[in-house]
Amino acid sequence: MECQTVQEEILDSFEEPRASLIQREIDAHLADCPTCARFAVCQKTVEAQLSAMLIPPEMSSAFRSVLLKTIRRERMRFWSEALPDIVHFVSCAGATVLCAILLPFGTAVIFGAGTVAALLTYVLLTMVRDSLQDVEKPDQ
Amino acid sequence: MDGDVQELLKKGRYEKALEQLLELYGKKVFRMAVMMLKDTGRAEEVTQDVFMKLWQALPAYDGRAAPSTWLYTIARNTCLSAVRGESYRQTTSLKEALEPTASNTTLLNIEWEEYLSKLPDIQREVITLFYLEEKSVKDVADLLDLPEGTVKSHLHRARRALGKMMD
Repeated sequence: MECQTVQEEILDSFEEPRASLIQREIDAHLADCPTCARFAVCQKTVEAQLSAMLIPPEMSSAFRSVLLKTIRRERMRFWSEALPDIVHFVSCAGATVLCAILLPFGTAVIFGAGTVAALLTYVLLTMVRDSLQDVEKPDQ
Repeated sequence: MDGDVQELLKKGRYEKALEQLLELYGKKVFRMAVMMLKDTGRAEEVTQDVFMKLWQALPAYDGRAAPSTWLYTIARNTCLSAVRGESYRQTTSLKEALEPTASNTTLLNIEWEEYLSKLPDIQREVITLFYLEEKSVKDVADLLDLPEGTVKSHLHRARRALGKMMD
């Protein structure tokens, strides 16, 4: 083995152990080559120092539960924000259908009026909600 | 492993998929965050952000890339934004970051910390991550989106450079 190859093998050995045959060749070369022997000692020191210094850190034990709790809260927030709108539109649709059954007007007129009423009340609902949020968070 | 997650995503079982991704890759993402932010507490916050972003993006997953590749991209971008947002490089030393409770900071470690700081960014990142990821070249390659051969080559260069600095 040439010096360059031996040095590459030494560096590779820190990533995965060399096969015993190659290891024997490396050892034989190191016994006769002071330059490569010095290189091997130096690299072993580098390896030992880095292994001692760069210890894999661990996450705190609460990490997983905190994350899952945050995700559940986010999901709940989505529903709590969307629920008034869903209830509003479902109620409007129900009222419109009821009117179409009970009132003596054409279906197109009832559904047209129902759609306009639903949109107008939605705008009103949004305005009221925004103003309430402003009252709750005056600094933002 | 990624296949199981993909199955769950196809079925719309996002919470279960997220739990699996957290189980499989949580530690790796956290360690990358530690390597980039050099602060374990902040790294944990950023890891939380990464998984929150992933959670919000899961319904849009189209199956073109492996979930882990997707997660690592989100992780890298989130960590980079955090690094840019706060100048951690100047304020926190690597030693403080990796062993915040250790009191045996020796002169030798400070010297080695200095050696590492003299390496080019990519070599420092690769060699730090190599040890933080329990010496897995594949994990480092996945996290940094580099071929394994490139990671090995950076590792060798970094080791040679550190050896020279020691002399």
